[in-house]
Order: sequence, then structure tokens, then C-alpha cells
Amino acid sequence: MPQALAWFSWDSEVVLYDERTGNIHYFDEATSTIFERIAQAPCSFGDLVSFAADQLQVVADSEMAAMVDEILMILRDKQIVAPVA
Amino acid sequence: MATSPALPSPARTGGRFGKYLGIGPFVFFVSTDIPPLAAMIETLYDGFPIADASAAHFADFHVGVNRVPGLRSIVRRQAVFDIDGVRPFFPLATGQALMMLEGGLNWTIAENTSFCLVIHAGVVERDGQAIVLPAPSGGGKSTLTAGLVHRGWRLLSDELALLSLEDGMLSALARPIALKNESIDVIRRAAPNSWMTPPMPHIEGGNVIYLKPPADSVARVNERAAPAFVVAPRYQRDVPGALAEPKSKPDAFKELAEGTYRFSLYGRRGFETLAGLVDRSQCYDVVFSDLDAAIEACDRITRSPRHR
Amino acid sequence: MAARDHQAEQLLRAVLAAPDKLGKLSERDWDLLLRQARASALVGRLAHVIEQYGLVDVVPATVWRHLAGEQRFAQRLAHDVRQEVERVAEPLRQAGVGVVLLKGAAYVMDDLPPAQGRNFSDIDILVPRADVAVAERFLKIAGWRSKELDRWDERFYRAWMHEVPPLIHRVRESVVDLHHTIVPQTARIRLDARLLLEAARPAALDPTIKVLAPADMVLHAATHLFNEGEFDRGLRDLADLDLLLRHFGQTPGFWSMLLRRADQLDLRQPAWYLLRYTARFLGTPVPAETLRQAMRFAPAMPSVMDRLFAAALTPPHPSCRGMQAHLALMMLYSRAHHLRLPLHLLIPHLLRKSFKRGAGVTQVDQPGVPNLNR
Repeated sequence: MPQALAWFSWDSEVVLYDERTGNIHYFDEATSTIFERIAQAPCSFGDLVSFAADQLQVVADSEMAAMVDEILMILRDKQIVAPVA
Repeated sequence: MATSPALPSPARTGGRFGKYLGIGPFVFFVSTDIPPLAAMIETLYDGFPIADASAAHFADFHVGVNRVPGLRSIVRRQAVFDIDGVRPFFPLATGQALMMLEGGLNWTIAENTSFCLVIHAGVVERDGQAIVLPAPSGGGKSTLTAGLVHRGWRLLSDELALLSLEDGMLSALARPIALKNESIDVIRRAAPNSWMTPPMPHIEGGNVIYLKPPADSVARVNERAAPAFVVAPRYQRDVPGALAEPKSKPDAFKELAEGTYRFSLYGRRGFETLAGLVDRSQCYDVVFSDLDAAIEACDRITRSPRHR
Repeated sequence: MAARDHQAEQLLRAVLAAPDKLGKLSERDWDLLLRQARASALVGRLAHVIEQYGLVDVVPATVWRHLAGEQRFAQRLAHDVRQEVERVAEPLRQAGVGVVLLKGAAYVMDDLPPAQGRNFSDIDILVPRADVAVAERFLKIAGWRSKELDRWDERFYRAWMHEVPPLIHRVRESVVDLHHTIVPQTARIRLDARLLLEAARPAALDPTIKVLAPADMVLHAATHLFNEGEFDRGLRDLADLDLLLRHFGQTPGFWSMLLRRADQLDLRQPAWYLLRYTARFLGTPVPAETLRQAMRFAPAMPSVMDRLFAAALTPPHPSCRGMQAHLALMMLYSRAHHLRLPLHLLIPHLLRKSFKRGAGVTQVDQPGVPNLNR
């Protein structure tokens, strides 16, 4: 997790400040859930899907996986997360 | 209804009025060569002066509203706001000089303060808890602020919330409150004993008056307050009385961030300070058509047991 | 108004030349110093100087909070500039155009002292003349657009000046000024921009981006200050030169290189003013030998120029610019135009400018209405 990030989490919604760009991001519930899980510790894709499905109280199916994938893509694009090994 | 009492003759130095005013965390040196404006400053800012022009005091800012020099009679009746030799605004008619000064003071604080956050919001306080009232102009913020102030809340500001980067406390300015159009009558009824300037035409149309701040608020101007509530007011004609809705903190944060002058320049510290304010406050939207109902809504919000 | 001695009011200049004076200021002095610094855009710089000299304790808290606050803003702005430089460099890399940064952006990317406490605005870059069109095209693809100018100004800029009209980014509103030389094409100075480009070197913070060689950087800043007739930032620019000379002056051979380059680039007069006035007003330690050798660069009427620049290199503040200063400024302004344009172009241009100037009061915002655009 880059040192340049500062965030607050309120009722499963994250507001994130990126010092590198000065941008403020407002994450929806799904993105917030995933972000906060990764912020705790690196996580495999599969575990992430299960975790998110559990938190959001939905089935961990392929649709869910696709959503998680899309969210990760956005977070990677903003250089907030990066793949590890 | 209070009428303007005979205004005292202003302190003069060679035809110019000049005084050091202690306005909350700031010292302003204010000067003018327009006698009616000088008289109004004496009355509205009674309790603020800390020194005469002859004292070589430190001032954070030197401002003035002066006649535009010129021979043509139409030009002579104009005045312009001046901050240390710079004139950021177009001149207006001399009759609007007070508006130029108040607007100029707001601008000066908003655009030249870097040691705390400056948020476009009202602030009132009671029992050690402050309400921050963010809202765009014309939304009822000043009316509600004035209403609360006359129901026992202390006035910190009707326009600018000053939030410390060090400890998240709010500083007071206790300056006159600007009221426009319908709000004027509403507040006249709500606070018949308060002192108001005569109405003057506002640049955006309609009229504006300035309400003298309560003496108690002025006396306590150096007392900072801890934020506990964020209430975003909005006047809406068709709403019955007042409706208070809890507001999500991300939404409250966003609204405050958008109302903070030069927010991006404060960097991470600014973000953490503002988010800290939202974090420790209960956040609401209050939509109202009736001022009393809105005040009651604020009462209920602030007196109910705390929930997270 | 009778000739008034403004020396007593040159407080900011005196403090920058001798920071130890800060320990002896009265309340009134602090008031005046802050106001002069604000007018000069030197608040952040002053904060930096105070910290460097370990004098924070002598500054009253009510003053220091303004200085420290502006310094923090300046740090954020420097960060933003670094980001923006990278965003500008990328499309130009794609265009195959070499980027040489000028002015403030160069100070940041090369980690030079004038970057400290600075109020940044535009990003100035120098490109070879032949590459201007393609550079502009790639920048526009990346989101920049030309600032709106009327036809006359646009023609003037392109044909006769040394920059294309400023490019503003659609979304971020950052401004890029593309230059293909550092003096106007019509100027009396014969400067070959290729010499500057050839001597350009990698910037400290990003070696893929270039900045001017030290002597060239100093001479560019000096030419801008002494030949362009604008003195709102005059003292700030002089303070930058003082810092650059102190910094580069530590490198052996710099001072003789400076004089050699001044000869090569036909920038002799700016070099003379630079050495003379930094030493005189800000106490810059210019070696006596360098000053002596620079004497051959002196203008025809040095004592006249001394008086004009003494008045112009001051804070644009009522406390230190009286009637005399305004006359001096007017003369330097005409001189700048004279240097820039031959007579047959000068008169139509000045006439057009004065016609457009109008009431002379620029509106920034309406009273009571916040400007939330930052």
C-alpha cells in the first residue's frame, strides 16, 4: 500500500486521498470493500471474490468475479493497488 | 422594528477614517474616505477596534473602501475596495460601500489565509458544540444562522468557517450577518431588537442589509469551538416546515471539500483535517420553508443522544 | 511630490540581502515586511530564508503563520509542477521533440534553490524552431488547446515573438508556453537558440528531461528581467538570480564561463546588469575579477540605468514605489519595447494595446461570491 494514500471509511464507503496526484476518490460499497481488504494485507483473486461476496451478501459466481476484476483494473489504473508475485 | 439610531461621528485622521480591528484570529487595518461608511463601521464593528490609525500596530491585512478619484461627477459617486494598493473588484456606487467592504473582507480571508482551512459555511455554537452549515449562497444559510443566533446560539460566522490544521477547532469572526430580500423581513420578525443597517441594493439584484452581531458573540470571539454537527441547510418553498435527513459522511465531506477555498493546496493535511471534522460530527441535510421549524430541527438534532 | 528617499522603505530588499536584520525588526517593520513580501510573491521565499538562517524564533507568531502556510502551499505547488512536467514531457517524447525546460519548472526539476517557496504558474519549454508545429500538435492531442486570442495578438505572437500563444489544458487548466528562442525574433539581439539547445543538460530529478546549462540559465533569467520591461516580479526575479549565482558560483570555472557565454550569445548587457545589481541590492558575492571583466559590457549611460533599475527592482507596493518609481518603470517599459521591436512595428502594437486596456480595473470575482476554482 503506497505511503502516499490517506483514507477514511464511513459505513463501508471509502474516501481516499492520493498525495501523488492530489486527487480525492469516492469509492462505492463494492470498491470500498475490496480496497479495505487489500489494505489489510495482500490477497489472492479467489479469496478476494469470496470475501467481497460474503461482505456484500451475494453469491460468489462468475458475475461477481467479473465485477471484482473490473474494480481491480480501475484500482490498478490509478496505481492504488499492484499485483504481487 | 429597530431603526438606525443616530450614528456616531467616526474617528478621523485628516478626513480619513482608519482603525485597527481585531476580527477573530486576524487584525485588519480598515480605512475609508466615505463618511457614511465610516459611521457604519463604527456601529457594526463596535467592540472590535484595538487601536487607532496612529498606533504602529501589526495588521494581517490593510484594506479600504475609497472613492474612485476623478472629476466626472458620475465617477465621483463610485467607490472601490482596495487591499494594500490592489483592487480586485470593479467599483460600485458609493451607496454600496458597506457591501464592498464586507465582500472584500470575505475575499481577503478566503484568498489569503493559508494557516487554516477556510470553508464557505456558517458556524454557530452552543454548550461547547458547534454546527457547521455549508451551503451555496442564496440557500438559506445566512437566514438560518441569523435565526439560530437569535435563539441563543453563539455566532462564529455566517459565511466563513475557519478550521485549524493543528487541532481541528473552529475560530470565530463574529462579523455582521448579510441578509437578502425575504430573509430581511423574516429576521426582523424573529429578532426585533437587533440592529440592522438600512437596505441597500445588492449587485445580484434585490436588497441586502447587515445585522449587527450580538454583543456576547463579539465578546467571545477569541473562544474557539469544537465541531460536532454538519448541517447543510436549503430553503425550499414547498416543504412543510422543515425536514431533517441524516447525510452520508462521504457526501458531507464532498460538499465541504467543494466549499473549501484553495483546498488542493493544503495537500494531505487539508484532507485529513476536513475528513477529521466529518468523522467526529453528525451530518444532516435540512430542507425548510419555515425558519422556526428549521431552528427546531437543529435543536432536535443537537439535543438528541449521540449515535454513530 | 518632492523627491522622497525610499531607502528606509526598502525593507524586504534589505532583509533578503542581510537576513540577520530580521532580529531587529519592530512591530511596524514586520507589518511592512509581510505586505512587501505579499506584493512581490516572496512570502514563501522569505519563509525559506528565515528557516535557512535559523531565525524562526525571532518571527512573531502572527507573522510566521502566514509565512509557514504559504511555504506549505509552495511545496504542494512544486509537487504539482513535477507531475505536470511529466504530463507535458510524455506527448513531446512521442512527437520525438527534445524538451528543454525554462524558468520555474526548470528550477524544480533541477532541484535548484529558487524552487524553494516559489509561486509557480506556467510551464515554459524551449524546442527547436523546426519542431514547434509538431510539438503543438501532439500537445493538443494530449488535451491542451490554444488560449483564446484575437487575430492581432495571435499573429503578433507567432510572427514576431519568441513563443506561440499559451496552451491551456482542457481539464487541468495548466498552461504550457512553447518557446523557440528566448528573445523575440525582431529583437536587436542576435541570439542563436541552437547554442542553448546544444548546451542543454539533464535535469537532476529526471534525466530524460533537459534544462539549460548553468551560465545559460542565469543569462536567460537575466535577459528576461532586464530586457522585458515588466517589473511586478522584478524583485523576485532578482532574488532568483542571486540564488542561482550563489549556487552555481561554487563550481570552478562558472564565472568565466558566464562571461564567455554572454559574449557568444550576444547577451552582454543583461550580464552586466545581472552582476551589478545582484551584488548591489542583494549582496551576492560576485568575484571582484568578474565584475572588473564585465565592465566592457557596460551600457552607454550606466548611472541613468542604475537609477532606473534601483526604482524598478522593488516590491510593487505603495510603501516603496512613489511617483519617481512610476516614471522609471515607464521608461524601462518603453526601453523594452524599443529593444523588442523596430519602430514601424512598435507604434501600431502600442496603440492597439492602449486601446484594449480600457478602464484599468480587472475583475477577479464578485464580492461575497467565492471563487472555488483551485
